[in-house]
Amino acid sequence: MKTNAMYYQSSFLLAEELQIIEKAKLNPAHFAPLYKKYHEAIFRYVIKRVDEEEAAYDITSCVFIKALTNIQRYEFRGVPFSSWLFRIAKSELYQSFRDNKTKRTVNIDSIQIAQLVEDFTEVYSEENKAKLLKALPLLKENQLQLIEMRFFEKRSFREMGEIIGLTENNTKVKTFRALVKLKDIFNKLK
Amino acid sequence: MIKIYVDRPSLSSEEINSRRDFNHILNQLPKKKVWLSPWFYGAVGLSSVFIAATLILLMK
Repeated sequence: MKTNAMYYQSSFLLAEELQIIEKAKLNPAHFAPLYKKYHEAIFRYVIKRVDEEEAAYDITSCVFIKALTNIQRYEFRGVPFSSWLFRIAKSELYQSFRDNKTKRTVNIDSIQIAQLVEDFTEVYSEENKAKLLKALPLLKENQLQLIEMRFFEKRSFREMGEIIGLTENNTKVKTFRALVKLKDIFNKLK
Repeated sequence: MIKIYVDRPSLSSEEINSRRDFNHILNQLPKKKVWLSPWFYGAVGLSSVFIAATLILLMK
């Protein structure tokens, strides 16, 4: 499975990022290159989960404001800075859902639906596609989140773990369980 | 209820990047409180010492 290329960066790029972060701790204006680098990725992460474009832009701005406000607390753990930003984005999104500012959506393309359906039944049909689309919202939010990140966004278990705050192995186990649950719901639907 | 979009048209990078505004982010940052800065305490402390010393000298 192809995974998110942005997550894999050379140690040189990681060191460069770290240097920018250290400068930004002293003066937030130095954060500009990281904002430029990750703005689109964070926006795309958000827009896949919300209904309205304007809300997605607002949440993206909030993510960077929060990141800069808390930059002093950031600790380098040998992974790209994006993991920390995605983590903030996740928490901003859920805050927005709790405040009823936006509605939760899932974005999926036909190819991804076909791949999942074939995993479950080996036969792709319009009927099975409709069944999968009915089954997805019946998952618990944390399970849906795992399926979304792994199968629709092609993230590695390591990156997923960093975003949701779990170890790589734990993420793998939970994703497997979420997939089993989805299959179970899928098979029960008529 | 969760909405599911299939093949929702995605925005172009140009469109997303046109909404990038780092100055807006900087302007939204909470302002640092002056009295929390060590410079503030340093300046106030030094001025107090200077004023006290001047007063003592004048009173003599």
